[in-house]
Amino acid sequence: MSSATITATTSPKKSPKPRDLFNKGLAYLFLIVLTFASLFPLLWMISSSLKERRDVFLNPPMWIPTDPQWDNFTQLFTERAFDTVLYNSFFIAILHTALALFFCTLAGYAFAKYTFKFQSILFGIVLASMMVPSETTIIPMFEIYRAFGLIDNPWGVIVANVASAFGIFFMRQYSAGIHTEMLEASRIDGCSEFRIFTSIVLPNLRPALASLGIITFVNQWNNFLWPLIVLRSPGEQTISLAIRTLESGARTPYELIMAGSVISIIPLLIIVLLFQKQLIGGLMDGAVKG
Amino acid sequence: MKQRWKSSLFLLMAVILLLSACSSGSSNNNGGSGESKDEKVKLVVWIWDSAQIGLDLNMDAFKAENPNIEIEYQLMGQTDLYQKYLIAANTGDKVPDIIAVESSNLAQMVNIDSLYDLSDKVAPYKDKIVPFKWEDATKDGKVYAMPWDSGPVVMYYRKDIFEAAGLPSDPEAVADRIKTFEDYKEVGNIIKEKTGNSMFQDSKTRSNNRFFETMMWQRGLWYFDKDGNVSLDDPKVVETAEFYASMVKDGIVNDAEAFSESWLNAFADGKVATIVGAAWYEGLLENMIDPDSAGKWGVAPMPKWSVEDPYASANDGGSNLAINANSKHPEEAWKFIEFMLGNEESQVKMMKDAGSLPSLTTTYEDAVFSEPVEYFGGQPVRKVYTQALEQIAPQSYTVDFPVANQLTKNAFAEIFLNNASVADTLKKTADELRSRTSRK
Amino acid sequence: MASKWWRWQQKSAPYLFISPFFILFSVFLFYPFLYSFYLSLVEWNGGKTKTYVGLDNFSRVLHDEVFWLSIGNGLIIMVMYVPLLLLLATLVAVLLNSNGVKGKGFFRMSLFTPNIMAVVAVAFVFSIMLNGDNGLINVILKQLGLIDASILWLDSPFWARVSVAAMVFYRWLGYNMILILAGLQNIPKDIYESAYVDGATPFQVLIRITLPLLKKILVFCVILSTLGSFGLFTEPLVLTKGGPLNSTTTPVLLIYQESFTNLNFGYASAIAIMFFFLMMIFTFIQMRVTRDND
Repeated sequence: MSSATITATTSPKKSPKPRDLFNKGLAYLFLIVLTFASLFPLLWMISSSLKERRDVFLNPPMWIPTDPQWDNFTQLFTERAFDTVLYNSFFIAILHTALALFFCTLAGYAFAKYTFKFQSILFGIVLASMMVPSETTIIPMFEIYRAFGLIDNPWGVIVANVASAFGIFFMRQYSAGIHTEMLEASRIDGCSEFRIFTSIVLPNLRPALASLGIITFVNQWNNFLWPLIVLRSPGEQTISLAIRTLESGARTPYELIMAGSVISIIPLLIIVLLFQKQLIGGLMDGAVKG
Repeated sequence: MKQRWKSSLFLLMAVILLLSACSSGSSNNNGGSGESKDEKVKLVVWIWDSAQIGLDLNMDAFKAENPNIEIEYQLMGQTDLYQKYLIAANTGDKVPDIIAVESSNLAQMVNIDSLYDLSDKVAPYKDKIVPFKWEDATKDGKVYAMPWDSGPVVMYYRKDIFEAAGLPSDPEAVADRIKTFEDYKEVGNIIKEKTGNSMFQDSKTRSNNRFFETMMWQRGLWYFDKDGNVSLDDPKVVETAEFYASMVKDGIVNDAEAFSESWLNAFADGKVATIVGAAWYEGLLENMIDPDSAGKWGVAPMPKWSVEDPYASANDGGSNLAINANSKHPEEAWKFIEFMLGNEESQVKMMKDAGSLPSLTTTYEDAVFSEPVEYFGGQPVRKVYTQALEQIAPQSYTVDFPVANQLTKNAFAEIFLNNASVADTLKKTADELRSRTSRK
Repeated sequence: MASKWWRWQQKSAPYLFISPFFILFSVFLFYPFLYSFYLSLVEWNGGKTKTYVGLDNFSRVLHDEVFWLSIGNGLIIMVMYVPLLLLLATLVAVLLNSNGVKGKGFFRMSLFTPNIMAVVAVAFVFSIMLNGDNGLINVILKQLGLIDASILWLDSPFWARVSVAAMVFYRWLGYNMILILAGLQNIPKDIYESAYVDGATPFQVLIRITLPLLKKILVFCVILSTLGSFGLFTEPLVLTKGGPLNSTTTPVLLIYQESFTNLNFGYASAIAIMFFFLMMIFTFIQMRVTRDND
């Protein structure tokens, strides 16, 4: 952010030539077209979610529903238990995020601020674990989950990948920036290591926690494959699963599917608009440091 | 500063949810253990929406008789249901108590030993139910499901389209005009020429194979022969498939996946002349596919391969109810099933208002079977069903039906997309099926 | 007095702090990974009995046309979208990193929005827009006079792959743009200034300075996209169910179908292991190729 303001002031100022203006116009046109294309499916989703079923595939298309069917949304809550579904989604995403932040920060901090035996080997294992695509272990995982009674249990989704290598790596980068003197000072004051972690490290890492938290939350909210395998009964479904369940049945209720999709996106849009700096900042930091 | 309140807000949210989650979790547990104390029994039924309609019709009567049994429906599509249940059964889940299963997938369910043995309970119904329904429900002499409706195949046709093409439209005259599939194809071409409409609908790449399977079944052919060997490359099957493909190539088939939006629209727009399908289309036509066309549809027997064929009809689907072998309440579950499927009154109601044809033959004497049906312009269509029922070639879906169906769907996609030879493709598919199912 | 405990907690702290990861890693990743090798040697329908069949499953995988097709599908889909994705993402990132453009925050956020929408939701909107004759895309293309007959977006092998690739492109453009933007902002500004002082045109700067410095991040994007293409699951599941003719069946979808639909858990495990090693080889080659260029 600060670098951007610096370049803005130091950049050479010339009076705009016609060719520059043309180029600039082209650049804006390009950006606007792409932006429109990015937002269009979202708009079409919202539009379709307010239509009657027969109007979803109208030719010529109905761009704006003439008679908005708000009932599509109420129907999801009254007939398809979307209240439970939303609760499940929040429950899983929030608990998963909270635990993930805790475990990843603990480990990331340990790798950054302590020297201990086998440190580099252990960290190597963390990095290597990124190489195993989780999709390849779904079958044995299913068997293990069954043994632990985690099938059809929200905790089965919450604990999966809760201490991710990415998260540890991410927090390790940030933890490295904490001043060692600060830690030493509290040690002299008689704080236990865990106390130091909770009272000094965590507060100092707040921006990083926010970034990783948002990224984790968004990913977990949108998670599909693993919940599909673990959560089998309708009462345990998350919103992504519930949307897909709507598809089955003799006649696919596309207007309800779209309404469900809109509902699934609202919390994310709110969070992302509120925390866009943390989200995008986190992704950018992750990219550069990785 | 700003960031600080945001992250604190986030943490606060997390804590609140954590707390509320814990509290609700414990209350759930209380609910679970309290259940056994008062004597109410809750049965969970996995079912799809169109099947639930029939049960709903009889729900009040059931509740009046069994106030202590509470039924919870969990709706899902057939494919989802089977897949979930196969896994749940393997896991030894106690839920659901009851599942609805189409006959096509029943043998597969029975085979993995996941269903409750109903042999003693269904004994009184053994002779009261259409005999072929028992086949897929039986393994090693034990019965694992109670038959629900039957799917004798007939031909639904649009009278107005037939008339517009200068063809007879009266049921008997239509039956006379279309005796064989050869006639059917000929009529299809006339209709295409005169009116531009399609004879029937099926997807080239996403077919459920129902039409082809119906053609096979009526001839007493199937993916597997009587000894259980793969017969998909049998000359008669190949000949049937070639005929089916020739209809598609003639352009008398509208390319649309069954029950997709374009499939439904084509019917609603009056662009499709026939459905060669099971009796359960009665309810679907009236309630979902073409509710605005009352009086325009008629019913005739399905075409045969040849007039000399010993059997004149096929079975297409039809459902059953079964109990989870791990259910904690098999007795109550049976009470529910018996009330819905073994009781004449319930079954007659389902015929009348949900258009599902009972497998329970003792109901056939009821007036509902001879009464004129308004949607079909007063034609007493149910007589056509029961007649067809008596002429179905006696065979069953068998355990490996789902995989055979899947492979054959791909075979047809290949035939139509790549213009592949029918015989070669079926030969290849048959070999694949042999290796997948370890059959000869 | 407390010093013994004190020293202990100080020494063991790092191990305790990293232990959650290692416990979870062992139970939920490492053990399952090893266990899948065992599963690949048995025939198992998910029930109680597993029958040891040796390497039968593997020889079946090697001869399974659908398995190789699924790998091919991953490759084809990747080729369909990755070059265009990187090109556009870089272009947008460069524009959003330049000084002249206003409303950067808006553009950045709007382009990133598709990435945070649930895959399932996006997949269903796409399936509605690409659906048959009356899907929006066909209607618009016909109205514009670009096509006469509807394109079978989801029902012909070629277009089905295009549709899946288009959806992946749609979802990941913004994400890759952000990564590249991060790379751009990491390039010291004085390099640019001296180039401009030397009289370089913006295009020359882009080719000579920006792209070479972005190489590391572009390679990262390519590797992510590769793994992503082979790991596609929800997109083909919702859009095409892997069809037509398995043209959009990806390895992960195949593993899922063989296990949870067809109940061939042993065979599916063998596919998973083959897939794992193929992925390792792909990643290794990609890293090797890019390293040699240095």
